[in-house]
Amino acid sequence: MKKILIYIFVLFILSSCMKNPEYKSYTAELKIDFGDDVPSEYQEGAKVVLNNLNKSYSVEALTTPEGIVNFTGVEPGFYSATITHSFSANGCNVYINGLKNLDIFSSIIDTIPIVVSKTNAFIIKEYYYSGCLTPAGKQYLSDQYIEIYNNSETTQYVDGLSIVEHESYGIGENYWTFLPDDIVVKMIWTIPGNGEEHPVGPGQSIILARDAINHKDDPNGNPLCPVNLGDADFEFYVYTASNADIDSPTSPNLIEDLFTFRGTDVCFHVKGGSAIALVSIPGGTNEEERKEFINNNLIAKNNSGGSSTRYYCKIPVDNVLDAVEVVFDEPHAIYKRLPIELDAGYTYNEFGARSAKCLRRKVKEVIDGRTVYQDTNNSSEDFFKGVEPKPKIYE
Amino acid sequence: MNKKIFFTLLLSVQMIACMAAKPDSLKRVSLSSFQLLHINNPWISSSNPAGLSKIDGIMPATINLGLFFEDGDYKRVQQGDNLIHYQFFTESYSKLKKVSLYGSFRYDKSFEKNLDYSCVNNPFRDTPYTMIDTIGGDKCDREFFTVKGGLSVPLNRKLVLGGAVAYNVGLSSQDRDPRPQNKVLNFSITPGLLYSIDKFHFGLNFIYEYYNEDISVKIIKENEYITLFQIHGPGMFTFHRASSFARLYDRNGYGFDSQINYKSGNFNSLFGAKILFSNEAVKDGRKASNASWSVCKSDSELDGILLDIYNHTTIKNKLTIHAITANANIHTYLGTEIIQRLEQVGETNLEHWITYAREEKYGSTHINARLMYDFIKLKNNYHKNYGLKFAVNYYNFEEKYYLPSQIQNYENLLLSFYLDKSFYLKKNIFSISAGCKYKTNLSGKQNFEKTNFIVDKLLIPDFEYLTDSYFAPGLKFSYERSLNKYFDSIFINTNVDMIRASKGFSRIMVNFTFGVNF
Repeated sequence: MKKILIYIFVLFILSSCMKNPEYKSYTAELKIDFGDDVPSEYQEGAKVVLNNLNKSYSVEALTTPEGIVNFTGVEPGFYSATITHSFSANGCNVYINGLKNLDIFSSIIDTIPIVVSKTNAFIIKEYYYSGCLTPAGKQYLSDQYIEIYNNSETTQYVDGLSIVEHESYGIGENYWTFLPDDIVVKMIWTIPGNGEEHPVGPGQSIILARDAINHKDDPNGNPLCPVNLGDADFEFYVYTASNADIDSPTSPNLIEDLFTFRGTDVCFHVKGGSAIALVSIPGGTNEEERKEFINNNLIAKNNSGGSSTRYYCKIPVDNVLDAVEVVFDEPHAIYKRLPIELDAGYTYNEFGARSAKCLRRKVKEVIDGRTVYQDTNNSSEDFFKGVEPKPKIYE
Repeated sequence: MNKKIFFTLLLSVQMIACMAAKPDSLKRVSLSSFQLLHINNPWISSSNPAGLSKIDGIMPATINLGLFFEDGDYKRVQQGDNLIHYQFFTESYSKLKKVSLYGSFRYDKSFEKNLDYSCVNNPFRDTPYTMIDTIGGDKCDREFFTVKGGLSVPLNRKLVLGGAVAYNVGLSSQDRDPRPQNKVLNFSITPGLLYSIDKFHFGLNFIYEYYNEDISVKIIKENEYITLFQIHGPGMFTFHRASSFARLYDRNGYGFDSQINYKSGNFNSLFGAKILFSNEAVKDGRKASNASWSVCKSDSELDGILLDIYNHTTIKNKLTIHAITANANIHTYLGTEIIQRLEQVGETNLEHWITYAREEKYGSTHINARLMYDFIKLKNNYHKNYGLKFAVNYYNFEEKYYLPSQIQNYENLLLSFYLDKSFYLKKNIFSISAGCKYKTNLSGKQNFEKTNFIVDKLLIPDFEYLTDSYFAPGLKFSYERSLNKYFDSIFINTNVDMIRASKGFSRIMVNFTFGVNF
């Protein structure tokens, strides 16, 4: 009996080896730097979202009258903090956005800058880059397109506006952080016209198609493709001696102003990562002036091995009408490239490559039959992540 | 050496050794011999192989084929709707002069249909760090080989040295994208000593265990990406989309088991205590073209401590045996997440996972206590007449994820009662057994700060299963016929168990075994 008691005592001692997890819990005190742009009476109630980038959950809090939010019980990890706020003053809607990546491995006190955003008449309404699969299971990418929408109440002209793609796919730190007032692009395609050739009515849109064909019925198409782009307004056409890119006779071609990685066709990354913007390049409808601006703003970058140099173009942020920060997925959001005054958030197609899904802007309201899309300059808030493509359908 | 050749050789050696043993017509081996062996020899229930030297009575052996079938809607979420399992099994106990030997070989082949939310071979392995996909209706094909061997050698009149090895290896694969192929290896080695003083026997053995599960997930459909979820605790996960993925579970366990045995006349009692420490590392990666691990990420680690206290007591009085088995074990786990980020480092800008923190985020405790009483009335020293078995099993489980707080716990009580009777008609033995199990839930709750589809689709339905009460009647019928040459008997055995749960779910389990004893 004595030995049995000794046994039990030893086991009791050994059981003290079992311990509870010693987990860490931190606080994050975030002060929103409203500056002079936001009157103090509007600084309360701004929604701040702290998003755990690894585990895809988020917590929300509203700012105090002093513009401060306190998050308690924060587990260690990589986070993004986004601020979304709006108010009406002097008859105008003012949108406030802010974004900062936070590595929380201790309690932190940090300041988040904001931008008071301007909204433009033209917005990117739909961006379809994922492509789809053929009945044979092959990838089909010719159906990529961008839809530009007139979100204003007056007719606007798209002549001379350009669509650009950022230099990086967002898989590493942004190389161009030393140019905070510019975005650096590898592709510039401009809508032709003299300034009054291509009107877009209020609540109307244009389609910029990679290949302007009816992808569902065309012999070169794919019966499983979700879109018919036969009536696209413009087409990305890349001339090569081999005529590898089919030139649709029904849609005028966009003007190729810059195509650093010139291939046989324009192709946006099917996994995401192609951040795009609608810009108004100085010179606008005048091709020579436009190209002169581009030539004067070329900037070189060596590849990682240093064996070759490529030239890209830097475009001032002030010339950007609308931009969408498209990333691969949530973990890659830390490699955001566009400045927050253009896009305070980020988005991606959560169904991934070849899913036949697109990014589409959310509807804010419908005024007298005209759809007004949400444009807070925060794509995390403004876009649906992975929905059926619906070109020229406004709902 | 080719695995199949190795196993065939091993099996052949074992069978030859068994056949070489001298036949003893007075000690005919029957189906009940194995139950009597375990009841009369408590050392077999310990992990100390030196205890083989204490085996009294006949040393039975068997070769059999089994078919197990299971079907019904009373099941865990990650369990298939039905299971067909084929088995070949052989084991033998024998003595060669002073050396006591044990050997077994088992081949298992099973098909589990309509399996959901699982990319691991066994989703119920007590680790929270599983991997799942949401494409359901999988069929899992498993093929496993198990070889066990043990021996004990007396060094002198008081001291016995023993050693045992167990080796289990197999492959499981699923037939629908994403298709995990799981290569599983389970290995243990157990050296032990036994020291005798008069009626007391003291045992001590060391245990080393190794577990390795190497998972390669492939998507056959061209250009297809599927989301895979890496679970970190109840309702907590990270995820990514990929067309292929690899995961490695690598566990080392070590500990010891000590025993005190008192044997005097008809009284035989063994008291033991075991402690086992384990550490399991989980690593993720993609396989590069050369099939080596590339961009390897450390996901998590799980540390476990198992404490087990047990007692087997047998009182044998002529043709009557009373056996009491009691054991209680507590198994605790501590889970650590490794927070890493893929970064371009160095002059070459190659991507590496950089560790930022190791966070202890998960804890779980399993308590299992069991008390079992067997009463056996013998026909003669080697055959049963009738028997009665009663068992009470208490199980308590609690797991917590810290920050956000995700908690679930429950405790269950399982009662079981069985009666069996054997009928002897010349060379034929008919045995029938009937009984039932009753499970009731004593308490249980789930409290999740964060809810998501994993909570809705997996945790809540699974909790309903785990805390559901059931009544399960069971019936067993076996027929044996004595043989005069080579083997002692040939037998066929059938088990049917039917579970009827309180919420209307049910499951039926049928088992056929056919083989020979010798």
